Amino acid sequence: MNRQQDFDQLLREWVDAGEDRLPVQHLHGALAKIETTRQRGARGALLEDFLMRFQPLAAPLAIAAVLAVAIGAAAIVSQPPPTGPDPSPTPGATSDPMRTQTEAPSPTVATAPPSLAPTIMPSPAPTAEKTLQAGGAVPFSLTVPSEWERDDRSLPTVIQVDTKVDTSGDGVLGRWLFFFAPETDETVEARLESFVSNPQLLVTEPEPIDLGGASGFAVDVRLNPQDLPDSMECARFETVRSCVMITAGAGGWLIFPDRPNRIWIVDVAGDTVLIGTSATEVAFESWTTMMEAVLETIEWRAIGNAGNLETMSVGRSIPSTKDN
Amino acid sequence: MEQYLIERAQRGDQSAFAELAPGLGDRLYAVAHRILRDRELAGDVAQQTLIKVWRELPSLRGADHFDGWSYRLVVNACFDELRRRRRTGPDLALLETDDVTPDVQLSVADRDQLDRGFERLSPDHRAVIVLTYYLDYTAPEISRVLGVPVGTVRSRLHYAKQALRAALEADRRPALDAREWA
Repeated sequence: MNRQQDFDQLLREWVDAGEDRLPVQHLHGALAKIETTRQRGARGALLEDFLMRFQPLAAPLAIAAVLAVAIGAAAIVSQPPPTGPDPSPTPGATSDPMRTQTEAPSPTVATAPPSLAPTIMPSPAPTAEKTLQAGGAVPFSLTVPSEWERDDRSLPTVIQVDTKVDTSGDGVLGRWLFFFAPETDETVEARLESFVSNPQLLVTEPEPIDLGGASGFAVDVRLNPQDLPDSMECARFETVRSCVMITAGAGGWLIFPDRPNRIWIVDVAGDTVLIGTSATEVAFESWTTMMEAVLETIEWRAIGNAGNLETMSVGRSIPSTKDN
Repeated sequence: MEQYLIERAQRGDQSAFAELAPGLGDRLYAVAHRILRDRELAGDVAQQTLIKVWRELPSLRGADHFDGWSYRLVVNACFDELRRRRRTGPDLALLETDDVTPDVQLSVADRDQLDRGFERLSPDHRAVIVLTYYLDYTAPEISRVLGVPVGTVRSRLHYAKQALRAALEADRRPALDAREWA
């Protein structure tokens, strides 16, 4: 090893010796902040990039614009006065073409059929619906608000049906419904019991439900605020502020500690399927009411092989349809 | 898996970002701590950078650029912090070097001297050292992170190493001198 390599090695050892773990209070501080921090729109960022790229040209362009105005003004001043009749019927109409352009569409808007209204409204009509198909071992379709999309890149054991980017800061952590079929033969009752009996969790009285012919229970689940030791089924991950319910098979279930979680557990012809969502305390009631309305439209389409994860490459084997 | 989470977070999924954040926060903190040499400052900078990553994520083009992009944000945050703190301080103090070959093994004294030498470096030179020796980034990769030409990266690395070597050897010289006196 030569002198240069020795010194490089020395620097490497020295620089490696620093700290590698972000103190948890800083992580929590950041996560708490993002819940109320709106993302900068991609469109805004692209526009900014575009403007930045042209920033060096700003001065020449400004000079060119001033010159153009000056030349135009000089040309008008030097023009001889008109000798014949004015060809335009009304001076106002030709001198302000933008006025004509902006006013013309308004009758069209007023007479447009109601179905076109969402294209000119600031947000989609809440009643607009479409059908989404999704599923793996337990395929299904849902009728959802028109702005929703199915995630085509879902994890193998999770189906997510969510909206497009939503950074309105209304307190809903993301917007999703998890559909999860654990790779076990566990019954609905056994799965429910794993929630109810877990000391890490606070679970409401199970409410019997029927979703598209699949019967089961709905519960609201919160993380027990008491500092309990991790169990086999529920390990706390403070850094992500969640409790992950580890199933006997693959995958887990996130319980967010600072908000209620609604979980539906149903039996779809022998497969136990979990569906879940969560929202902040403030948004929870309205959000879950909306989710319930969506889930009432569920149609289970076919039953795959229970417990066979290979059939659960969700969203790839079954194309989505988006019938607006 | 991380790419999947990045793409979800780009579309506004806070839960995906919450899963990304611990690992990302550690990486940002590690870089910030090495550049700033201050635990509390590095924590603040990493926290602010995490929030900035979340806010700016939709502007990222391609999840495969995520690492370099997030390092750029944290390095820039470190620059801001150092400039705030060092407006009146010296920038880069280059010392003369001689031909003394340092031992490969890092002693406590070496570490102290490197710490002191590093504190005298400008933010730009600090960043190049950390990106080179901690992240093992090449000059072209560093050039993309810092947004400067590759030649500038190489020259900063050269001068930064020269300064650190000089700091190290400045400590050894009195020891040699003492032996000569004995």
